[in-house]
Amino acid sequence: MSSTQLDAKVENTRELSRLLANVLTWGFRIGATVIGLGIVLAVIQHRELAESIGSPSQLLKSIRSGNANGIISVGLLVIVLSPMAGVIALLRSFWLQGDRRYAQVSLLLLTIMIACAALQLGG
Amino acid sequence: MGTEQTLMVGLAAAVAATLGSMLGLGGGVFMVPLFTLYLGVEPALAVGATAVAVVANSVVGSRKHLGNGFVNVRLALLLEITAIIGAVTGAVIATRIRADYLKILLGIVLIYAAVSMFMNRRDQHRQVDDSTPDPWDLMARYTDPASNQIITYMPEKVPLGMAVGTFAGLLSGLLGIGGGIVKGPTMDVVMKMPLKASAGTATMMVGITGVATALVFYRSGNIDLQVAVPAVLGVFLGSSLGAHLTSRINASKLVVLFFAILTFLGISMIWSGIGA
Repeated sequence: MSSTQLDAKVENTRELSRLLANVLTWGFRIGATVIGLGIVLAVIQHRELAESIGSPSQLLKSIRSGNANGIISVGLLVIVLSPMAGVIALLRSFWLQGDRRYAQVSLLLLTIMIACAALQLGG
Repeated sequence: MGTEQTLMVGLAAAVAATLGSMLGLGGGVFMVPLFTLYLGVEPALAVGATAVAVVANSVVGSRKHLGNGFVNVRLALLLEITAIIGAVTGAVIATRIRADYLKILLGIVLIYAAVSMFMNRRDQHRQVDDSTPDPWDLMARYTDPASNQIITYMPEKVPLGMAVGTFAGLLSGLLGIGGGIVKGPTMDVVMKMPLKASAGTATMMVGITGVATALVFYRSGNIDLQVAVPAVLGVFLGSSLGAHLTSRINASKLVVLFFAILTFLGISMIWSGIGA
């Protein structure tokens, strides 16, 4: 690898890092805001935090009824799923740059993550 | 759970996240013992809440490490392929195993990590140059803010790192920890990466592993909002502080701190597991 190639790669890695940092920042901001709203709602509703999140269908029902625990759970899920969004952003970026090797690595990782999420959230 | 206990969970998570982020461990390794030994949280719920907090810690901590250029993004993706498979397997086993066994296992892991880091406390990375062959396209460069030195490095023994990553993922799933306790030392010792790069890369990796782990615990009903919410909020504070401190503290000092705390917690966990 020549010096110029290494410099270009370092710059490319910086761009990838910025992209990933942005995705994680937004995941954090949205998740934290939703959790904050849920906590405020829990105080207003005089509701104690639940001992479990409940199944996806219970969670949906809980959100529709404006239940604070449902809102907080969504905030937690947004944060938990943020790294997955980061991998999607990296996959897109590698693909657009023509870096096929790491586009494939990202795709494989994402496939495993989605399979896991589908298995755990699906039933 | 009373208000006082909720506050203590948040505080413990903040301390754990600060240490975890500084060391690239994700904080879970400190959180589980603190929650179970000192705050009376049931082990299964401590592990479930920690799994969520570990992802939050990674999300917050990674941003700073990414900004400093400490994260080798390509390497993280590569190592996570095997780690995440191990994590799902471990989390499924964890929902079926006795709590005292989990405590003893975590105790052993804590002591192992402390000893291994103490034995290999020196930054072992090799400075490479542009002419070094880079078969995995993983060569990276960053400027260390503490010394203003430009560090160019290349991770070595990538296939071995991936194999160890499976084991790291398994522990992550079993114990709710991020697995950084194995990932960090593997990158330092086996892959010969600079300590700050391994800490930054491990911080990002534990978030990806944690997604799978947290979802398995969610499915099994082990995420108690009364523990998970204060833990996540504590992590938001601690993780930012930890990542901030990493860029300013000498790496060898981190290892001494790491050794003392982990040894103490490891012995306490084994003691508690045997007692249970």
